[in-house]
Parts: sequence; structure tokens; C-alpha cells
Amino acid sequence: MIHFPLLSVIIFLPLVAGALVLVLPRGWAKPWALFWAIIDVVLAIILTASFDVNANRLQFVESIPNWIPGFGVGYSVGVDGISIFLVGLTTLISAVAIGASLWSINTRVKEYLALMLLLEAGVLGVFLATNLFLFYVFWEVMLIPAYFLIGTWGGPRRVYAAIKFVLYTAAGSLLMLVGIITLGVLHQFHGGPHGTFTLDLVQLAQTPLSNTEQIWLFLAFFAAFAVKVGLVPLHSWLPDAYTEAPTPVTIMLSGVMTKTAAYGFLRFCIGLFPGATHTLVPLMEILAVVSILYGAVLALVQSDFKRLIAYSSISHLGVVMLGLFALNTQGIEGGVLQMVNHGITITALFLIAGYMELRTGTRKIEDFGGQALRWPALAIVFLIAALSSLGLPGLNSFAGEFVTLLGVFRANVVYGVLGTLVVIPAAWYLLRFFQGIMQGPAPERGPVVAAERKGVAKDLDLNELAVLLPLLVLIFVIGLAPGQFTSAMDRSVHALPGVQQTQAPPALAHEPSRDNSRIRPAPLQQQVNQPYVLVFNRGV
Amino acid sequence: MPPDQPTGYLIVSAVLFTIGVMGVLTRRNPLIQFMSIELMLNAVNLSFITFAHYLDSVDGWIFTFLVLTVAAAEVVVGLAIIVSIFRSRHNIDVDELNSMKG
Amino acid sequence: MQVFDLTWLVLLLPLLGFLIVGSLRLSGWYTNNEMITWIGCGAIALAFIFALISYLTLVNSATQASDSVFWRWVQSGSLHITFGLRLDALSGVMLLVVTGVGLLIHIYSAGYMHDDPGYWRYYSFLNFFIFAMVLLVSADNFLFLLVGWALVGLASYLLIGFWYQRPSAANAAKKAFVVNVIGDFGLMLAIFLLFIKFGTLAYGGSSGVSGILFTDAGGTAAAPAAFALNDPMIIAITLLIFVGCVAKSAQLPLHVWLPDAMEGPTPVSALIHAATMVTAGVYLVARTSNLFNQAPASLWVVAGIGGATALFAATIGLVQNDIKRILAYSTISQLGYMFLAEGVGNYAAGIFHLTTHAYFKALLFMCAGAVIHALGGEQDIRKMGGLRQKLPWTYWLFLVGGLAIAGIVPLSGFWSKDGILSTLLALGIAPGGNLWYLVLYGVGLLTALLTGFYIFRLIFVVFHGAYRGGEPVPQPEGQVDTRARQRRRGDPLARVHEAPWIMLVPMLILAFLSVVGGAYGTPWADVLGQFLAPVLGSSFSLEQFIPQGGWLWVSFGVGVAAGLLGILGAWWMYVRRVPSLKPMKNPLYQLFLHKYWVDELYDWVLVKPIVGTGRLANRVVEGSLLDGGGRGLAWLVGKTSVGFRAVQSGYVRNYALIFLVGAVLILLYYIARP
Repeated sequence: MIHFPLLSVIIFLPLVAGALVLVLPRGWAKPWALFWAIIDVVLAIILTASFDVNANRLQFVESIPNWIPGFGVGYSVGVDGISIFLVGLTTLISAVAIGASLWSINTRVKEYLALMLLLEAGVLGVFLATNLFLFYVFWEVMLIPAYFLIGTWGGPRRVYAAIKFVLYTAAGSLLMLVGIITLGVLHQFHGGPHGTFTLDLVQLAQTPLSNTEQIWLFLAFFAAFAVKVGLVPLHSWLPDAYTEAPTPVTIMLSGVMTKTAAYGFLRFCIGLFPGATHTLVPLMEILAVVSILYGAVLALVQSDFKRLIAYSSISHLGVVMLGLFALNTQGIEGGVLQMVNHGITITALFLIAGYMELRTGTRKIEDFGGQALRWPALAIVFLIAALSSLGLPGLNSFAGEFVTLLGVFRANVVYGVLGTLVVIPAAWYLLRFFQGIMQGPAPERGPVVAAERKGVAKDLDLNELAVLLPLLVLIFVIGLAPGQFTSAMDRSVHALPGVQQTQAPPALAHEPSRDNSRIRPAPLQQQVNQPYVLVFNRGV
Repeated sequence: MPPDQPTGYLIVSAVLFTIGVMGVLTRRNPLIQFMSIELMLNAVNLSFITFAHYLDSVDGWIFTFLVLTVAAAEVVVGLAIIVSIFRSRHNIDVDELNSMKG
Repeated sequence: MQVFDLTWLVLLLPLLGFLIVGSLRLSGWYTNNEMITWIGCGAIALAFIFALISYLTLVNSATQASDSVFWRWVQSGSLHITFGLRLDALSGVMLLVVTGVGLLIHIYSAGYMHDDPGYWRYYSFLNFFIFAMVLLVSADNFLFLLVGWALVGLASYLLIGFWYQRPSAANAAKKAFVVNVIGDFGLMLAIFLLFIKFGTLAYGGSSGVSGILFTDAGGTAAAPAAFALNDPMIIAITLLIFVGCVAKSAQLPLHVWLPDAMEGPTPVSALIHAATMVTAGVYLVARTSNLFNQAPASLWVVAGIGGATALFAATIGLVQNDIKRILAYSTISQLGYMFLAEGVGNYAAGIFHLTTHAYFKALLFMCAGAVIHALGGEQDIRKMGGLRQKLPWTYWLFLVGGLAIAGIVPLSGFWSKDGILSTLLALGIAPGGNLWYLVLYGVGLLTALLTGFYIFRLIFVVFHGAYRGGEPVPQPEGQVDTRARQRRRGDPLARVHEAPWIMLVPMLILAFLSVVGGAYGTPWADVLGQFLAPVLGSSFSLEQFIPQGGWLWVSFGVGVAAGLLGILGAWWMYVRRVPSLKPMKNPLYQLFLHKYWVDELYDWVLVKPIVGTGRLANRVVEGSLLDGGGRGLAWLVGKTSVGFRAVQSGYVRNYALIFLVGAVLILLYYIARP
């Protein structure tokens, strides 16, 4: 069947636009890049609108099975209820990041925009690839532009930050490459005399791996994902990279790139190695809890506000990880929703941080004070973003955190309590941040006063507000009706042939029915046109 | 008619190759080095053709053409590099080109 | 009669008011203060009318609850949460208190905040608060209760930090929010447990599924006891719920935020930090009474914390010198009273005291506001005195409020306080009664005595005697500049005037309610108690709380005597003798004055260690260990590669030679190979 290759267009549109931007006149570059980024958002919206929430398999599948024959490498992309929102998030955040570059980046604009678009293409490819080889290619495609973006357009310590970033992530992803190849070889080995080497997810998911093999493979993938998601103690690159990168790049790193890792955990670690996942849940949950609390405590003592947001990001992504490895419906759906929420909220926070840095040239909280008087509009959007980040009920993050933590709590009370604890320090450090900038007496000297004398410390203008606006709208929309998102994930996260769908009666029994809510990948069926399905036992 | 044994051809080929190697190693002018490399390639071509003839196989002929083509491309690229280096440094002594020194 | 459920309008109108006031000003349209006042007060007035209509139709109908569901908030696996509003006796009463007192305070604020540059901001925040509070009391499930719970916290944060340029206000706002988040944490855990236990979060059931509190949406029948008595699970749930209540209602040990919250404008203190928001905890315990009744152990905790807080805060209130802080500690103490009532199972008495307390405490705060307003922002009672002549209306209104809170017959405070005390007495003297009830009764009585003392100390010091301050400089409350305050010759109070009518009218209405507000809760005609009975759990019959025959009069007599004794003591110390306001050496006095050093304790035990850990981790773990480790690894690699570097000479011919040698070696290997 030949249909319009929507997914490939979404992936390669930024790539082509990025290549073409190099040959355009300088003045056209920014509008051109923004235009195509927005077109990609529109395509993602079309994709979401035509996505069938009642189907439980990959949709919009495009497949060239024998792209590189003999190595099991096929070009195959597809989208399901989990990746669809991440694709939408990526296109949106990329458009916002490019929009934010309009006035903050003025050197080597064309190269910059080409790299940004390449980065976007890489991230989209990671979310949509359903062949491990393709996945790995896109995974590395993300790394290269990110390196150049940090190292070329970043702050004073940019080279150090960029190299640290590349070394950390490359070390992780090389281990993943070993894991990918091993997995293919094991598939061939376990297939007996007729075994073939393949990297296709559907076929790999059927490999009968022993528990030991699973654990080693899990750990190989873990290396790549844990570094990128910033799990403590592998997070050391993250505050440096976030702080030194120019704001739009920080947005790309924090808003979408970390999500690729969380997504990888869900799709590959949990999806391919259920046995190992089961064994290693304590490890993952403990690392997640440590990240949550450690990130929060460190965010409390930062004076550089970009660094503060970076540590808050470590803490909040810990919640996502905690949810994914709760291995039940609420944990996973909440975790994925929280990925989207975190992407939106952290982007808003970094945008605002970028606005403030651009105006005053400083990132030290102590240099500010009482700015709400001069920046009323900025104060309001800042407060909304901060409240969203600290999980104020009624806003987006609360919805995600609530569902996630409920799932975690059902799976394990101790992790649930420790994870829920995040709300207390989060309120503390975010309000400290807000108070330091917007409240209290105005400073009498320093960079802020100097900026005011020069007349550059103005309130938010309409362009800047326009960039923030979609994020603010989403903060409220998701906060008020998160059900639209979780129910679209439902089919992909659980359910299906052979698994009975229990309609939940009020469970008045004394023991919570936890076993039913554990997700266990059921055997995958081989179907010709159904490339890859995660089949989960439906949680109660 | 060629002789029954390929020994003569192979000796010539080996001599040519050795001359090429010595040229590359001892001369400092990249142009001369290039000519030496060409000499080496052609020495190999001679071997190929010799074996192709005596083994009655077409593989050697094909390889020779491949080598000729690659050699031509290499010369083009190499000369371009030499010209551009000369333009920027006004000197093409290979011993001076050590900015990649570890 | 049909129930006319207009809760959604009561919810929507304040939200609209908030949005309109906020967006009009932000979009740069010209709006004068008058327009903002009309929008702000109008929204609340309409909300009050709709609440009244809903309430009256509910009272007169056979239906006991009306539940309207609006949309599905989330569905994830078996987790279904809808957004719906519930109108029943309890939420009806709360709606009336919130919108009613809220309306009066909106009107009062028009006079009080008249000159503040942030007038629009003030009204939008105040409207937002009413919206959040209405959501809290009328939500029909625990999740939206939590939403309202946190949003009132946000409103409180915004209003405490209203004068955000004062560091003390900003700090107080942050402290209030963070302490409340601790409560949210407890409540969230309680909700998780509830979901695990019940598989739903709705109060009332629907379509054959039982809710947590009521089997059906109508709320007529209490949910079947899903728990055995004293099931550890239910004890955990109720205790976690109570953690939320402790934080929100400023009970021990999370009371520390409320006195600091007095940094906000005085009407805000009256509305949020006395009459409505802080009573949310009392509301929640009453709302979940079906659960608490199954967990007597938790009820003892509620009663114990309530009693301890009542006494604790009253002792601190004895010696404070800031007019608003005295009232703040009084609020904490009275809230403790309410929890005391609920802890012994008489939820109706707790709610009754909640309503009367809303009247008289709002009145007291408004009077304090009038004093502060007249004196140009002065809050220290040591610099007041003799204001009776200058502010006659305020004086008499303050007196009414004082008598009501001291529990003097027949003001509203008497009836509600006696409802609590007589319950304790009845439980204590009942055959086989627990001695602890009598202990709690003693605590209640002592608190009543102290209440009479501190409130009349306040009245006597402020309104009697001679004026002790300098000439007030007319300044809004937010910007007290003490340097500008200089004593002039002549009467320093020459320019001090009584509050304008727009402030006095709400005060008069509240004074009226403080006087007669007890009429619907007397032991002979317990209208409120009967009305609330279906919601507040029927497992305890109300009659058992009322002492028989003579004991009732004993309870009356002792209660009034305690209040009078306190008043007398205050009169003795501050009118009869020359009032001494100098600090005393007495260790007990020092203990009260420094609020038992609880703030300092938290600072040393919690704040400093956490921040210290963070600083240490930032330096050692982030800096030395991880960053240093990475650098160390890089250094090691660099050192190791020195040897290999020599090979990279940079001479092309060297490379070619190495290449050749390598090729020859490989060739030799193949030749030499056997």
C-alpha cells in the first residue's frame, strides 16, 4: 500500500530545510527556519489528529525491510500512542527554540539554524524509528549538532561543557551500540540453524533471551539512556551543558533530548528485556529516588539560575523514571505525560531565564530583586511557569505527577512516599528563585541597575510573549484535561488480545491488587504488517 | 611470444616497486613523491597483468583498470591539495607540514 | 421542593472576576479603582446570592445532596477522576460562610486598600481566593479537593506577599507556601491510599459503585464501613489527611507560618487567615468524618493536637505586642478548639464554632485594621492607648468581638464554645467515661480563661489609658517608614479619624452576627446540628453530647466564669494598675514571648542541615568528586598517551616508513609461517 509518507516527511523536513538554509541569503535564514519548523508542528498536529486512539499497534508505518540487506538493517518508522505526543512535543519545542533564537543569536546564523534543524530531525528520528540500526543512527545524529551548538555559541566555558557532554554521552551510546549488535547476534544464535541477524524490533522482541543475557543487554542500553536522562550519578555533564549552552540550545537539550532517553528506557529496556527489568527495578527506582532528592537539594543552593533549573530538571526527570519503572498503567502513562509536561515547563522556565539573562547579562539570583515592579508581565509568566514546575494542582505538572506517583505508590509504597516528597523542596527552591528575582527590595548597584540605566531592561515584548504563549496555553490545557492524553496512550500501554480487560470494581479487598497492575510484556505475534507492538497486561 | 615463466616480469615489477618506495621515503618534494607512488601503482599493475596472463583469468585486467582509475583520481586530489598548500604557505616541503604532530 | 443547585455559578463568578480585573489592567485599558471595586465586589455579591439560593432550596427540600459532574479529568487504567461539584449541608454552610464573609471583606477592602497602587492586583487575588475556596468546599472528590486545597494556598501566598518588595512579606509568603506544601504532601499520600483501598476518589457513589463517603450520589447513606474499626490502613489514611489539616489550619507543629502570614494586608488576614482558609482543615475532618469514626486512634490524635494547640497558642498570645499577631495566635488557638470538638466526635460543634469564629474573628481583624489604618500603619500595641475617644465605633465593635470570643453569654462565641466544652464534660462524666476527656475539658477551660485575658489585654492596652505613640503619618499599611514618624507638639492624635462608612458597615454586620449568630446552635434548638447530621456521620447521636439536666448549667456557668476571670485578670493588670509593657525576666514570659523557640528549632533542625547538605554536596560531590573525577580521568588518559604521541611525528615520510615496515613484517609472517 502506498500512502503519503507522513512520518518520513516529518523527520526529514527539518533536515532538508536545514541543508537549504545554508545557501540562503543571511537575512532570510531565520524566517525560513522558523517557517519550516512551524510547518513541522502543523504536520505533527495533522498526525495527531488522524491518529487512531483505538488501535493498539504502530500506525503510519513506513517500511523498507531490506535497506541494507545482510545486516538486518531496514528503514522502518512508525508511531504509537506513546511516541505521538513526544513527536508533537519535539516539533513544538523546536519551533519555540528557533523562535527564541530570532533575537538572541546573531553570529553565524545560518550554520546555527542548520544545526538546530538537524538536531530536531535527529530527535524526531529517535522517537519514530522502529529499527535499532536506524534508531542508533538518529541517536548519534542528535549528538553532533548538540556538540557544535554548545561549543560554538555557548558561554565562556562552552568548550569544556561541550567536550564533557560529548564524552559522557558518547561513552554511553557506544556501550549501547555493543548492546545492539550483541542483541542481533543473540537473535541469530537463538534462532538455531535458520537464525538470521536482524535489528528489527518486532523480531528482536521475540528473541528468547536468558535472564543473564537480558541483564547485560539492559545494562548496555542503560548506559546510554541513564547518561542522557541525567540520572545521578551520571549527571555531571548536565548542569554544565545546560548552563553554558545558549538558551535555545538549552531548551532543545532539556526539553526534548532528555525525553529521548526516558523514551528509550520505556521502549527498549522495558520493552525488550522484561525479565531484566523485573530484576533491576530496585536499582532503577533507587537511582530515580536519589536523583529526585539529590537534584532538589542541589537546586536549593544554586545562585546561578540556569544551574538551578538544570538541577530541578534532574529532580523532575527522576519522577518520570520512577513512574516508568513502576511498571503499571498509571506509572507509565503518568510518566509519559510527565515527559511532555516537563518538556513544556522546563522550556518556559529556560526561556524566561534566557530573557532575563539577555536583558541584564547576569544569571546570579543575588543580582536581582523586586523586578515585578518593572517587569509585571514577565513576573506573571514566570510565576505561572514556576508554579507549573512545582506541581501546583490545576496546572500540567500536577496532572502528570499525580498519576505517576499514584502508580509508583501502588507498586511500592516506599518509593511512592519518597517520590512524592519531591513537592516540598520543589516549592522551596522555585519560590526562592521567584522571590530572589521578582520580590524583595530592588538592588542598588550591579548589572541589573546598569542594564536599567542603559534602558535595555524592559518588560516582555510581544514577540517574546508570542514565543511563550503556546507553552502557557498547554500548561493550562493539560492541567485541566489531562485525560485526553492518558486515554490516547491507553491502547499502546496496555491491553490486548488474550489479556482480559478487567473493568475495575471498587477494590474493597484488604490487599491492593498489585499483581494485576504489573505490566508483563505478553508474547508478541508475528504479523506481516504489524511491525512492533508493546503488549502489556492491562492494569486494574 | 612471452616466455613460459613470469619470473622476469615479476622481477621488473619488484624493482619498480622498490624504486617507488625509496622515492617516497627519501624525497621531500611531494611532486616527486607522487611520481614515486605512481611508480609503485604501476609496478603492481604489471604484476596483475602478468598473473592474469599466466593464470588465464580476467580478474587481473579488471583490477588494473580499477587501479588506473583510482590513481588518476588520486593525482587530481593530491595535486589540488599540493597547489592549495603552496598557495597558503609558499612551500611544499613535506617535512614542514607537521601541524598534525601529536 | 427542587434543589436549585447553582454551585457552578458560585464557582465561576469569582473566577471571572479574577480574570476580568486582572486582564483589564494588564491589557493596559484604563480602569479606575471604582470599576475594579464594582467588578470585584459584584462578582462575590452575585456568588453569595447564588449560594444563598442553593442553600435555601437545599434546606427546604427532601434531597440531601446534589451532585453535578462536568467533565472527565483523567482516565488511566482504573483511575477515573471527574470534575464535579457537590452541594450538601456541609458544603452549603461553608459556601455561605466563604462568600458571605468574603463579600463583607471585599467591601471593607474598598476603604482599606483605597490608596494602594496595587489595588487591582489585590482585588483580582481576592477574587481568585474565593474561587479556590469555593472549589475546595464544593468539590465532589478528593482530587479536586486537593486542587482547591493547593489553590487557596497559592492565593494565600500571593496575598501574604502582596507588598512583595518588603523582604519580610516575601519570606512569610514563601514560608506559608512551603509549610502548606508539607500538608499537601500528606494529603496526596492519603489520596493514594484511598484510591488503593476504594478504587475511586469520589465522595459519593454513582451507578452502583460506592463512593468513599456515601454509597450514592445523593449522599443519604454513609458508605458501608469498608474498614474494620481500627484497621491500620484507615488509621494511616486519616492521620495523613490530618497532616494536611494540621498544615492548612496552622496546628502544632506546623503552625509557624500563620503568625508570619500577618505580613499581608489586614483584610486578607481577616478573610484568609482567620475566617475561611485556615478553617479548611476543620472542614476536611468533618467531611471525612465517616472515615475518622472508624479510626478512634486518629480521633485521639486530632483531639490531642487540637487541645495542645489551643492552649499553646493562647499562652503565646498572652504576651505578644503586635496587634495582628495576637489575633493570629488567637486564631490558631480557636482552630485548636474546633479540632478538639471534632476529635471527640462532635463534628457539628466544630463546624458551629467555625461559623461563629468566622464572624467574630473577622470582626476583630477588621477592627484591628481600622486601628492600623487610623494610626498610619502602626501595629505595635505598646505605641497605642486611649483610642476609645478617637475611634468610638471601632472600640465598641472590638468590644463585641472580644466578648464573643471570650465566650460571654449570650453572644455567639458562648454557644459554640459551650457546645465543645459541654461535649467534653459529658463524655468525661458519662458512666465509664475516659479520664482523658476531663483532662481535655480542663485544657478547654484554661484556654477559655486565657482567651478572655489576651483579648481584653489587647482591648485595654489599645483603647484605654493614655496614648503612648507619636503622631501617625498617614501611610498605607505596606510602607511603614518609621523615620518619618516624629513627635509634634500638641495632640498627636489630632488628625486621627474613625474609619469611613464603607469599612464600618461590614464591621457592623459582622458584629450583629457575632451577637446573634449562636442562635442556630443552642442546646435546645440545634438547627445547624440537625441540618448537618446526614453528612457528619450518624454513628454518633448528637444527644449523647449534651449533659443532662444540671450538668448543662454547670457547663454554662464554668465556661462563662472562665471567660470572666480572664477578663478580670486583664482588667486588673492593665486598667486597675498602670499597665507594664516592659519585657519581664520571668522565664515563662520569655518562653511565650519567643513562641517556645519553635521557629529557631526548625531553622536549626531542618532548614540549616538541608541547605548545608546542599552546599556541601555542591562543593564536594559536584565539584571534587564528579567534576574532579572526570578531570582526573582525562588527566590519566593524557599522561598515558604521552608515549604514543611520539609516534605521531608529523612527518609524512615517517608514517610511510612505519607503513612499509608493517607491510614487510606481515609479509614475512606469511612467508615464515610453516
